[in-house]
Amino acid sequence: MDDHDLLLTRRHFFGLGAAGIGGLALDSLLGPDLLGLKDSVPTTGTHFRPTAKRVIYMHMEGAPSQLDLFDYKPGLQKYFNQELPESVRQGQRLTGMTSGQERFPVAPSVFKFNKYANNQDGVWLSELLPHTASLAKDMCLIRSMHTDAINHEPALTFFHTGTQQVGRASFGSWMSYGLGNANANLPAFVVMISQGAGNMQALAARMWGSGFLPSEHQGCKLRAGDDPVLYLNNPKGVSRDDRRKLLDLTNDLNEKEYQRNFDPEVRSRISQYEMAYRMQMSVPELTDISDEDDETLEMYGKDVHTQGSFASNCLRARRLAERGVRFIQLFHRGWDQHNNLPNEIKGQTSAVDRAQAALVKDLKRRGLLDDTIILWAGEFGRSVYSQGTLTKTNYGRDHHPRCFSVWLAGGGIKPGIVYGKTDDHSYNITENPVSVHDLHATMLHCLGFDHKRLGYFHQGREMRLTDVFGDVIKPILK
Amino acid sequence: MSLLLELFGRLHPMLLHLPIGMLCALGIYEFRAWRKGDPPAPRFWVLLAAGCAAFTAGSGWQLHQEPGYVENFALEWHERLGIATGIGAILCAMLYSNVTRYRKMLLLSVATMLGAGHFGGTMTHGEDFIFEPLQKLAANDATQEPASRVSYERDIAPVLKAKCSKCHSASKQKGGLRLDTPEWIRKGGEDDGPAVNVGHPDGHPILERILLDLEDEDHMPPEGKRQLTQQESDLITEWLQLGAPFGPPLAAADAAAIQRLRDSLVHVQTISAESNELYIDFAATATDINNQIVTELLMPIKDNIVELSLARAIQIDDGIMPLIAQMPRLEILSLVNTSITAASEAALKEIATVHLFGTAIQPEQPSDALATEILDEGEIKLANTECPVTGEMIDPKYTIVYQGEEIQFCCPNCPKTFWEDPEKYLGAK
Ligand code: HEC
Repeated sequence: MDDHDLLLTRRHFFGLGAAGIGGLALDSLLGPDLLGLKDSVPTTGTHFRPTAKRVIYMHMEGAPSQLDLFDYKPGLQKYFNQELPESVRQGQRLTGMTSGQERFPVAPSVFKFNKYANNQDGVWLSELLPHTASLAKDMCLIRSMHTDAINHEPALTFFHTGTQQVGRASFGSWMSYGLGNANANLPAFVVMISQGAGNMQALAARMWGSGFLPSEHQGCKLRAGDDPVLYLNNPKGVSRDDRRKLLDLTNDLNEKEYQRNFDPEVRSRISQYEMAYRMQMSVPELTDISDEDDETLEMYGKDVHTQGSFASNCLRARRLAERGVRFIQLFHRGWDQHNNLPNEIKGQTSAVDRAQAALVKDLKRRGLLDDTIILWAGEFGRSVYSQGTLTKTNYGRDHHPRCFSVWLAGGGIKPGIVYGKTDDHSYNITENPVSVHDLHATMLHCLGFDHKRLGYFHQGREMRLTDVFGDVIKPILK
Repeated sequence: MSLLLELFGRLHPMLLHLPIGMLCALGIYEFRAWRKGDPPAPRFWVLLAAGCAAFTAGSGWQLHQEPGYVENFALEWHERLGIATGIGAILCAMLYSNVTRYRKMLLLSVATMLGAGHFGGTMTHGEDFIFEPLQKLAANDATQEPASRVSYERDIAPVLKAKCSKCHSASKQKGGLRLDTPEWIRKGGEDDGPAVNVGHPDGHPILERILLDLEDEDHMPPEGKRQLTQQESDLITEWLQLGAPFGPPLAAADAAAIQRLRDSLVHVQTISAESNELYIDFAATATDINNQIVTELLMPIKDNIVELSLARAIQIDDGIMPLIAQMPRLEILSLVNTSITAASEAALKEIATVHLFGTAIQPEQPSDALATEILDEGEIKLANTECPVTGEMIDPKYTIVYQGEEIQFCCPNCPKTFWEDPEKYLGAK
């Protein structure tokens, strides 16, 4: 056995497939010029012609209440403070936060709903979302989402990676792997986080991690402030030329290392250094909003000037979409209203309502809504019964995985429709259930992928975003 | 009676194997006997063979009386030769006493029977059934050099003409469907609607029918009719997976030109794994490009471009139009925030989708802050949430009905108090 064989790493040994595929993916990301590689093959490529090229996913972390925003239940008013019937709950498990409660009194929403014209016979939406309601003819509201998890962490992991266990690749990294980027100067997958008004849960970076995929596919977090990407700027006294020379040398050494051990992560590293170098130019241009006109800024609301706000992130999301970034993930935190919901939710909706509507409209007039899927979702829903004391004007709501509402727009999704129904208590789904896997499969379909064929060999089996589940929900496609 | 006849007809596919076997066996027996100078086969066997042949021919003729058979060459000759075989076999039995004539007649009957069998096979299995494996061999040789992709004109239309036009063309439109021109194919039939799902890899009614089991009554072509060969159905499948393109096949774009684009940080992507059509995006270098750079880069691959984004390229103006005009397949074009002017407006009308926000053609578009129509307003009408007597939170256990309305109280005592002077407590509420 010669030296070379001895030096093969364990990683190489177990991840033979990964080296090839990772290398190919990298080529397309970098452009062959940088690595001196000859035939550049795009990443896996789409299986058929897509209706969408990118995704903007607004995740409302903490889980907004479907009962107070989307799932209109006027009939509940006459059950105020009555016990949730066992025929509805059917012994379903509850979280530790309310399982000890003596009573489960029904808490109808205190908010008024209006019925807005859409492309069917209208959609009822809460007074808390007047701007979002103006998207009624563009949005597809799904009232019959359900999930398997009942606590934030596993539910978030499920929504973002397709399974409750940690360690899988996130949706955005799958897109980076499958499509590469339409802009060689920016990462394919960008994440932005805004802090909400209410109770905040931990938000782990693995929600945008790449799991078993080569690590250049992980999401890149854009921060608020003057240093959007940490350690991107050259330190004092280092010029861009110096940086280039340094990189050339390091890349040489890394490439030698790669030729020795074929570890795809070495190439990931080269690609990330190069990406960072190009981002030194592209990121400042991206985050500088001085070229936006007043009318546009006005649309997003005055918060747009506050860096790190949801509104500011929405505007950045549009700028990223415009620049070809594939997967733009916004987190807005603070929706976990176990008590004092009617007051706290107002703080949340006022932070997101105007900006998210502006984002959709801004994309639309630029022709970008046609091929961008907008997804607005929390990780689960909230309970119809009050957690803690119910009064006429106040209540809390516990986690509820059996039904909740999400909305989509653009990218080949049928506009102006409502899909799925829940029972009178917004507790169980009565029509057209949609699982998280179904949602993923449907979005992948719009992006040009058969979800059963977008896979990656890992630990002895083919891994997929939808694992072994998921059906494309055809009725919500255009 | 007619039912029995029909049954008799349906026995044909089973019966037909008897005379084939018997006549062949007799033929071999007589050939050997003739060479050796032996006497002919026992009369019983000749009579039996003649009976079976006549019976089979009769049942075949009866089967043909049923509706649904398309007259074609194979059917016509299968019938003629089949009847001839029946008659020939009976003649054999009649001529048995004259050995030479009997043997000549037998030779003739075996010959007609082989012909009838061949055309029968063609009807059920298709023309190329036997030689298909050989054709495949030849095809493999030919595809060493990958042929260009399936073309409607070259590959598909001839198959549809040969195998479907009997029932789906100008002369006959079974199921309201014609398959003889692209327009009719797109229009489709009565039950399935458009026969192909243009632009999509799946959801093609045609394909679903072809792939059904032969026994399924919706299978196309119907059972008993000339079927598609494996090769033909593979061709059709491949064509449909490409999204049923009717135009000529598109050759892959020049690799060197694509390399040049990638070197210039331009995004180049085929719109799907199966396609040579391209989506081109100048997002990375939008602010640096101009008409000349773009024209030089794209000219060599202009035929392949279906989607093109020049958004935010402020130096791009009407000078780009000569290039755009030479892109026959361009469907989606973004000129958002470019310097294009109204002078190009007419030319841009040729393209299915053009985005012009932020240009002189479409300088502004109101954002319609709250433009949705409200159809109905909900109201919040809790029965009563506080006890009308004490003002405490109600408990649904203590509910009474007063003047048709439910009123709830906080404890068992309050209803009594309430009944003493309802008006007073209602007023207070
Ligand atoms: C022997 C006559 C015959 C031949 C040959 C034939 N078909 Fe048909 N086809 C029919 C009849 C009869 C119907 C209508 C009954 C039905 O819907 O099953 C039909 C219906 C159809 C339909 C459904 C039309 C609709 O929307 O209602 C399709 C699609 C179709 N055929 C495709 C084909 C194709 C493709 C071929 C050639 C490979 C073919 N057929 C060959 C007789 C034929």
